[in-house]
Amino acid sequence: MGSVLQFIKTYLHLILFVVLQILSFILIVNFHVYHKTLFFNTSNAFFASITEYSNAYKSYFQLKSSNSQLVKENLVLRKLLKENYYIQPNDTFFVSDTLFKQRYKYIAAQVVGNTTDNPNNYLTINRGKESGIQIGMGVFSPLGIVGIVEDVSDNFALVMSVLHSKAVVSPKIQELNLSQGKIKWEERNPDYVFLSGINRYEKVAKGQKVVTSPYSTNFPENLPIGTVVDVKEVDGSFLRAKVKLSANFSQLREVYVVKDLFKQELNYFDNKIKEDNQ
Amino acid sequence: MRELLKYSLILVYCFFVQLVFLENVHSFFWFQPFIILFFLLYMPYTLNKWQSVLIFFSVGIFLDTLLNSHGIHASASLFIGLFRPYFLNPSLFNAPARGDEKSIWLNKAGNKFKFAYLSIFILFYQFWVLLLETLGKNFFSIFLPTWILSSVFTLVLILLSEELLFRTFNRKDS
Repeated sequence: MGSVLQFIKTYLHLILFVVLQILSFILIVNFHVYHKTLFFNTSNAFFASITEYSNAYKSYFQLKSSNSQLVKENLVLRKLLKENYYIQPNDTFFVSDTLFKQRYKYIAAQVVGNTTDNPNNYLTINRGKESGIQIGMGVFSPLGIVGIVEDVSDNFALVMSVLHSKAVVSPKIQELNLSQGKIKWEERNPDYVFLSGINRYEKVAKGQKVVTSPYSTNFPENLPIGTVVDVKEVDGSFLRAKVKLSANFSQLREVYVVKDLFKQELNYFDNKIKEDNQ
Repeated sequence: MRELLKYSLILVYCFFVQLVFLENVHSFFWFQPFIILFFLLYMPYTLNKWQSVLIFFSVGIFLDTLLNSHGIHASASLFIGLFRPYFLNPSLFNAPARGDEKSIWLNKAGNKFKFAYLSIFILFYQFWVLLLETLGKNFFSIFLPTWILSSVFTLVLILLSEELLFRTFNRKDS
């Protein structure tokens, strides 16, 4: 108490000065119209900017929950996409009273392990057998395809990345509606893959979008793969295009696993073809 | 008691000159002198800091009431009241009084100090009042010339008032 009194005694003139100066400013602001307008405009702008900063600060810490909410919402929306449904050809027969039959389902997952600098790269996701993940399922991120499930445990799955020497994807050049050739990772650059086996007479050009083909057994049609950045002729009759991947492999976090409900049926026919060719 | 009467008379003189003459000068010319600084700057140097703050604020607020300036002079006077005691080192005024120094303590420190002291506080007071009134608009075209002219005119008025009032007090003393 004594020290407080001592403080007040020492700084009485400063305390008085501050209090009386505030009083003077209150008088100025209240009795001068121009000063009043200016003061309230300035203070409104000041407090508005503070509120803006505080909201931005709060929303930063809510990013995680907003993100997972968006993933859930995206999953629901993705289930409604036209590509997820098999169109029952109604000019031949009707099996049931619905026109569309669902073909693809998606399971949201998070990447918990990822490599991009090895000759053969893999990802680990936090969904496994218990979530319905099976070997051979396609995995993609919101930006583009990522890989194919290689192995599954109860709670995790190992995904063979597109950045793997053995990973092959069936592509389609969107602008030409051309489903030809195959996508492979050849150079050890995590941003680029190569599209080979395209007829030299096709008009493949820089800037064209490469998406998944309708013949792909792992992915639905039209999922982004990348963009053509360079085209060269090889062996005299084929084109080889360098494709910049859409997905950023070094920043993968949220991914979706594709469950093809027709896979078993399609595999049956694939095996038939293989047997016939052996 | 005699000192109180002397400063009361100076205060009345300042308000009178301000209201009757200087307000009219302000209406016709660009500059706006404030003779109240004569009272504030010639207050005894023995005032302690909190007394100085309180008295200067009271004078400022009273002037605001008369001039309808609502807080502007109170704010400017408060600054003078706060900083003036730091500027006035009592050792400067300890020398024995000679002539008019008996009633004008400021002359004891010499003319150099006196003009520096008067100029700094006049310039600051005029600047602060003008700034609060105009908020710095038209700085080079109006603010700056008004500030300089008003300060010079105030300084001249203060020196004339000193001649007029303190010499009178001196004659009565002798």
